[in-house]
Amino acid sequence: MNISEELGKIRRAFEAATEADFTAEELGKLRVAYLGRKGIVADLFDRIRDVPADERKEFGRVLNELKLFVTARIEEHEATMRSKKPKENVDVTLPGIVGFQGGLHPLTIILNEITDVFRGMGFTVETGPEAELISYNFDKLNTPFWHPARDLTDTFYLDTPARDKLLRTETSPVQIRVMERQKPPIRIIAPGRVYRSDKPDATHSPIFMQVEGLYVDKGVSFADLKGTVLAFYRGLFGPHVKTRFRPHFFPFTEPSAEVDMTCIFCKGSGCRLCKQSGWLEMGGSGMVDPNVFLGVGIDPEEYSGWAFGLGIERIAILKFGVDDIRLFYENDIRFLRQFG
Amino acid sequence: MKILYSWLIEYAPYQGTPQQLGDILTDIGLSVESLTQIGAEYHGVVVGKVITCEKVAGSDHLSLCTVDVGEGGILPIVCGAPNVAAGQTVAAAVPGAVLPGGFEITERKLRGVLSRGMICSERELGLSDQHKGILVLPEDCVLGTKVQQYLGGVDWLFDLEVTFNRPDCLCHIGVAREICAKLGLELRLSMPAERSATGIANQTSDWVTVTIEDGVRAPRYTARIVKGVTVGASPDWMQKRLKAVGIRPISNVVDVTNYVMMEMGHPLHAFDYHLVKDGKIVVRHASKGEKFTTLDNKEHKLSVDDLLIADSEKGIALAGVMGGLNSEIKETTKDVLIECAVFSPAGIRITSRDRGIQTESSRRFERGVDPEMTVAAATRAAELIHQLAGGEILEGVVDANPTPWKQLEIAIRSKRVNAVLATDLTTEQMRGYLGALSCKQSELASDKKTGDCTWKVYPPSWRRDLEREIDLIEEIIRMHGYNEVGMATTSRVVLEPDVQRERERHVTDAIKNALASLGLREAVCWSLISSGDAEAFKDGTEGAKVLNPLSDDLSRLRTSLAPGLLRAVERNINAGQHDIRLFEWGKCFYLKDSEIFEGLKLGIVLTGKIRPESYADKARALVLGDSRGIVEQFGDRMRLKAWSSKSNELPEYLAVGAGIKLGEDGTAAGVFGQIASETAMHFGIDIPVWYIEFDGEQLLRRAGESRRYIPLPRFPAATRDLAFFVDESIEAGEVANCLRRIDSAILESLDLFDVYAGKGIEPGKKSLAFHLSFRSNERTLADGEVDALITRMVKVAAESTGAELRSI
Repeated sequence: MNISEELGKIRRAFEAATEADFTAEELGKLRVAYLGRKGIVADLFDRIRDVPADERKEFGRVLNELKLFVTARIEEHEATMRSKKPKENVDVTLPGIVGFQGGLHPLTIILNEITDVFRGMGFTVETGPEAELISYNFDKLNTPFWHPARDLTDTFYLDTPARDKLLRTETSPVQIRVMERQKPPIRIIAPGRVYRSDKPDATHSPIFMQVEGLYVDKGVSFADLKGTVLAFYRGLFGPHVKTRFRPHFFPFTEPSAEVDMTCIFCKGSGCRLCKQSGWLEMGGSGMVDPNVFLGVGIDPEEYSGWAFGLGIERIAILKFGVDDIRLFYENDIRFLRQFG
Repeated sequence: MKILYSWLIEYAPYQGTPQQLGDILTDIGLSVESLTQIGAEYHGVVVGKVITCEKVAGSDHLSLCTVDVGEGGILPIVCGAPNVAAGQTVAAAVPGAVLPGGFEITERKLRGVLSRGMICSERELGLSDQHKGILVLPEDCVLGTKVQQYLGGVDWLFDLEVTFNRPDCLCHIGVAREICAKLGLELRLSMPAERSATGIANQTSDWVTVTIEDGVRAPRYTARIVKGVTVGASPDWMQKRLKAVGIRPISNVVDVTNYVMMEMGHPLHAFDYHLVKDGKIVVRHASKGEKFTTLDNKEHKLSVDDLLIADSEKGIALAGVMGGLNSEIKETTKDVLIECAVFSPAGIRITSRDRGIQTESSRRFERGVDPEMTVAAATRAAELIHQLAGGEILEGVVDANPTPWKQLEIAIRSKRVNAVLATDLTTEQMRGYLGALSCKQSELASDKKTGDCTWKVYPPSWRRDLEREIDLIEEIIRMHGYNEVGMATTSRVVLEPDVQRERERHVTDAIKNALASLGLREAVCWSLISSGDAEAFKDGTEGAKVLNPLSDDLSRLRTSLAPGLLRAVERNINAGQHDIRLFEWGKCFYLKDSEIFEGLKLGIVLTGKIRPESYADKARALVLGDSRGIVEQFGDRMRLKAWSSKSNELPEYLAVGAGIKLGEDGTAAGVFGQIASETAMHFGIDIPVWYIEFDGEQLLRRAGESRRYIPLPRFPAATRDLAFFVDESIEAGEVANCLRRIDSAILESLDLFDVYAGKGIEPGKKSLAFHLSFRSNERTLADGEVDALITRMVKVAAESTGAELRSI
């Protein structure tokens, strides 16, 4: 059998193969068998050099024709196959098929919101150690040696030979670290974990998160503190909220103030959640105490500043309506799923 | 601090409502935590006298009484109380009366007998829960008058948050003083003048001597004596007030000391004079191990840090904290020695803490009492005792005062006040506020050059928190009103962001978002774990301990995020959640050379199936490769050159796994693998669980390098599949690495796509199939070029791993 006959035979075999019914899969195999890199057609092209020189031209023409024919026929079938409607009934009400969804923790979501508002006001985010020197947590924050916060019943101390560290009870030591390192103007927030020896219950967690704000410059006043705190709470809770400042006592600020915000549930008219007062207690604040400045080598006659702190869980509880602080640390997927 | 409204307004002539007063108190820093009404409201109840009392026929408990209610006449009243009897003085609710809860009294018939009113029990008047019988009033109550004047009407109880620096507000006069200062009212004090100034010889000093051995711990000790008292119950009005503010009435003498404390803020103690040996008071340190029994009948072993009030032979009170059982006031007490002293706050704190005793007295001393009040308070107590328990007050006091109070002088500048507060208060306003707070002030000195006014301020003895100019500034704004200060915004300076901090924050966000996009949920675990978990989780580091843990559950600082995450897995499994994919980004702590170090870590925990099961297909269970896949995908997302290596030193908590290395230099930066079953079992998990941990500090340093565009390929790729038979012991990575070693610029990728052992394969062997892609950036590759490379690969693979070509 010469090569031309062989071509004819191949063509007939292909025609026969494409007469019958076949599936998409079989069609794919057919395409590979005939048109693949090592398929029948490619093999024939390889064999051109074996054809006597005078027949080569004719053989080439026939082979090209075969290739075009096979290609056209396969593509035709492919097109038909594509246009065929699926036979089976499709139930479009079947639920969607999904993968596992990831997400951020609700406290991260709130912290990001808080950070965004402060960054918008020109604050930089700072961090500091959680296993902190006693002197940074208390002495340098002007906490008298007899202050109850220093008690073993209030604060976790760490068991090291030097006995000089504790688990920070507030994020305020970051203030000290920044002021020691950097000259004013300083405008920072410091979010992070803090530790207090409170038995866990629905409203207490021995480990929780705070954000601290600090602004130090020439001529910073109590009015600046009030304005910034108001702007912050409006940024977080909306333009309708108001703030109220109440005199309070913190060792590291003077004057010191507790900040209340309009109750977001009753809009200030009084409800169960704000104990009928119309106000929600939001955090502590005040003008940096001159003793704190002296300790970090900033002249309190030249510079003044304010600081304020708030609990992140408190904000999350208000924003999400969570009724038990421990839920934030139990990591129950059914809880986490509701936020991220 | 509980403050009774009716008691408070004895000193502050305040006219508004308790609610308005609450707002004022909050505004000046005495936050009202609660304001509750005590005693219910009722009217139309008058004093009556039961004239006759007869049983109602046909009833076993009702009596028909005739009650004289003065001007209202004599009324027939049916009463069901067992204790009702003729001759009693009672509280009669006449028709039209309204009892607490809005219950109105009308005429009505009971068992056919007309009743025109009701005789009330304590409960019916909202006085107590007592309902066993009617309330019987003292006989001297005037018929027909309102019973409120004998029983007390409606009152209000404030619970105030008094900050640590304001012990002067831990009493009614102190709070009244604040109200008067704020509202410009005059404080009404009915305190006695000092009686020792009358020129009569001091009798007290004949009875008592006071010796203070440590004038720092006990700056002052004042004693006063009332002789010949009759100890009994204190009157109703005093008991009621004490009960309202949370103090249990004991006897008239003891109640007076507590009453004066709640009134004037100064703790007092009363001794039975005859139990004070030789009339000698010695304020001294306890000796080591000295035993002492306090009033509550508890024996304490004292240390030299404890201060004792002693007589000539024994301790009789734990100074400022609690009296002794051996000298307490009893019914038999005739002569009373009243102590009113000043103790150093630090000392009281030591004893209170070491002996575990907190009392109303220690609470005040550890915050600091008014050093100039001892004589007045002792005298006030003596007079009240005299009034309530009879006896005779000895003239004079014994007043040991080794460390007298020194008046502070504070300079203040008006410009500074306005600068700190951003106010424009006048000097007169400032002086007015300070004056209202009982500060004495010098004349003004004005500096013509600066226009500043300065003067000197002398705070009163009860305001020991006022030491500096800034403290006075706070007082000025407190009186002026915090909410009177305007709101400014700090937009004056633009601050350059700290690039390093910003980058860290940005990378942290990116890490969390990348993990969330890989289907992981962020967890936040407590950083303190139990000693059991710390010991069961062996990662080769030494953890730090809390010196004074709340409980064993929170006694160790975590060295890894795994213990917390594994506990979260356990909790979720117990709640019926089986597919768990969590990550945490947080601080871990370890000890090295006795120092605590802390650093960020990233922990990831996985268990369950690869995806939620659906009707379309069955999801397979996770395998080790899934944890490695997370490492690789996360590395890709963060532009980290993360690769894993066989780690010879896997931590003990991993059964199988490998180390993670970062960067070209291959710095070890973490591990991944399957948690060892004994570790998992410790955490209550009995299914396979995988864990990945990265060193967070390294991630922060290396992650998120700037992304650079790589041009898209312009020439086609040539692909080949290669399959080998290898010994089962040969790892796929080994074969892949050796294929990669054929140093070729054109090998674009090499991926393992099949691993197979079993049917059709010689035992002890397995088949590995790789998908290879070759590409040049300069030209289309010729088949021959690729084939030559493949041939070399097959050869090298055979030589170094014994791989036998299965198919190309």
